[in-house]
Amino acid sequence: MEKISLQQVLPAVFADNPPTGSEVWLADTVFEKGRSYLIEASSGLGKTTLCSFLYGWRTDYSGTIRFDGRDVCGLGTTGWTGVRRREIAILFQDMKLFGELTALENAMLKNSLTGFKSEGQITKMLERLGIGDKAHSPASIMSAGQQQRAAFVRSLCQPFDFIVLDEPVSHLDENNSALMRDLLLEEASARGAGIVVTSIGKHFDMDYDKILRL
Amino acid sequence: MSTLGKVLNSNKGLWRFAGFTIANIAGLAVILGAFQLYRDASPILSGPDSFMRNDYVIVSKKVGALSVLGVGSTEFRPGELREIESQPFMIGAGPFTPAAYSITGSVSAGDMCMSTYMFFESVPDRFLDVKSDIWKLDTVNNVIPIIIPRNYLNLYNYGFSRSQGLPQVSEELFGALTVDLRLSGNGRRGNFTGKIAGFSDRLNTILVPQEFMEWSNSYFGGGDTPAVSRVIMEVTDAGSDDLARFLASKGYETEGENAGRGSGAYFLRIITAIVITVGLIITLLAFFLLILSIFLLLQKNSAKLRDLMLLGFSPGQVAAPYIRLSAMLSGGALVIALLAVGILRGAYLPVFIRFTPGYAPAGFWPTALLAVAFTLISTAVTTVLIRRKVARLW
Repeated sequence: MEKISLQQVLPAVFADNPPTGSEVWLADTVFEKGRSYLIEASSGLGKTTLCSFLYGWRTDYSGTIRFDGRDVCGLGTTGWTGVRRREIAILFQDMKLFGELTALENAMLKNSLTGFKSEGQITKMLERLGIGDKAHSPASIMSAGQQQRAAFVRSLCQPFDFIVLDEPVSHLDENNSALMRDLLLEEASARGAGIVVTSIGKHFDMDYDKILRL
Repeated sequence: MSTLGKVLNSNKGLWRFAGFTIANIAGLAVILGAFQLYRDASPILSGPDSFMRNDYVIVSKKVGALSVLGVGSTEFRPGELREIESQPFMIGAGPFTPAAYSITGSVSAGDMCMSTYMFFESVPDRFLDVKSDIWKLDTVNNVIPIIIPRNYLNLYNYGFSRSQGLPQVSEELFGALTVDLRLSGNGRRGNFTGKIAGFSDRLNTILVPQEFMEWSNSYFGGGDTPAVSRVIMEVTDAGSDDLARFLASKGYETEGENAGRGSGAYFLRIITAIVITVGLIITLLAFFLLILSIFLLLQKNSAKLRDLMLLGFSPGQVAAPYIRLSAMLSGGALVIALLAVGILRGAYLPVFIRFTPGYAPAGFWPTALLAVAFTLISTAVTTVLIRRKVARLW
């Protein structure tokens, strides 16, 4: 996938009261592969909603979203399953880790679909982000910051053209945020992938190609 | 356990499915047991005669007090024959053709000679299961094959021979005897040799081939077609209600033990139908219990299922553990139900064998196939329902 384009997209929830001055909603926006984007907004303006549209678990919007020119409305179950395995990786704001699985098992679960990383590589990534000692702890007893890092490692266990991170450092200090950023840039550049980050104010300290106001 | 299985807890709380499994075993065992018992008991209640196929019924009109005076004839008129043939349960009907000439038969053994007046009847050949090479007139030696009621042999062996101090004769030996037959009528005479082609439990007459009867009636009988007083009917089901109603409404009588066997078979069928219905209801309830338990589990795990699909698992992949679970439970119930039927059979078969000489039990395969078909159908329906439910979570 080379680009994601949004044309006059507006979430149904804003239909009665469309936001003004947004560079994404009711605008024509393109995310290109290999470039990085920061989407800034205060609470309630639809950051997670945008991620859910890009990842296909919500379709309550007007306008058109296209992956390389094909309307995502026509993707269907098989199409979206393929996109989620090979084209777009995501770090959910609420992580969506399985509490009964360990950090390593959570990552391995995703990896079982893609076979993209080895167990050793996953363990190394967990160590690099400072949660190597939590690899075998159930996610349910991990702190929010640890969960955020474990979920991030899971999102890297697949090939992707774009990685979408929904408030990725909301629970991290600057040091851990920097560790995650370095790993993100390394993995994205290895794939030549695009990066889409949403932020409520706190975000990776890096050079974004474009900063959009939601 | 796989990581996916761990997430879905699909193997946990198996006890919740115990209710389904027990009900399913009970339901299946009842259905299969009734089916097997029906198949095993059928030959006893509607056993095939040595020469007659299963669903043949012989009817005649009742001889009343006034029949002697020629009122209330016992003959079947052509219209009545047509009416019999037009019944929906009728495959075919054939009249008994009586001989229209006189017959004398004599048997000689050593110095002893027995001679008697006889009669012949015939039915169309297709109503008999007799090998065709025996069942025709041997024109070279003038040998006529004859089927006689087994009763005749019994009468001789247990009645006549004992009281007269004569030896008892086996079926084979009796079959080897020949009867000298003298046919006369229409100013003609003819000598033939009668050979016993078989014994019948149900056909209470002396039968000769239809072809011979037609020829002999025209030759010795002067060409008049004799009146039909008995009709053999091939019906779809000798125990059927429709047949019984038809015979009762017309005042026709059936011969031999057919009617008794028919009603026995009829009751067996009714009881089997009731038992199978009860089994079906239990199985259906068990099936609903399974679906309900699985849907409950799916509902409980709906958030996890959604998250798994967000990770890139297909609906088919997340549905698979539940489909596997239902298939395993159904398969287990199937095996146990079949074992239960085997045990039930072990209990009643010795009784059947002890009380019914020459009894051969029906095969077990149709029951096993029925059970497998049941399980496959229920698993297929469950699979479709689970897949639909998961697809709705997408």
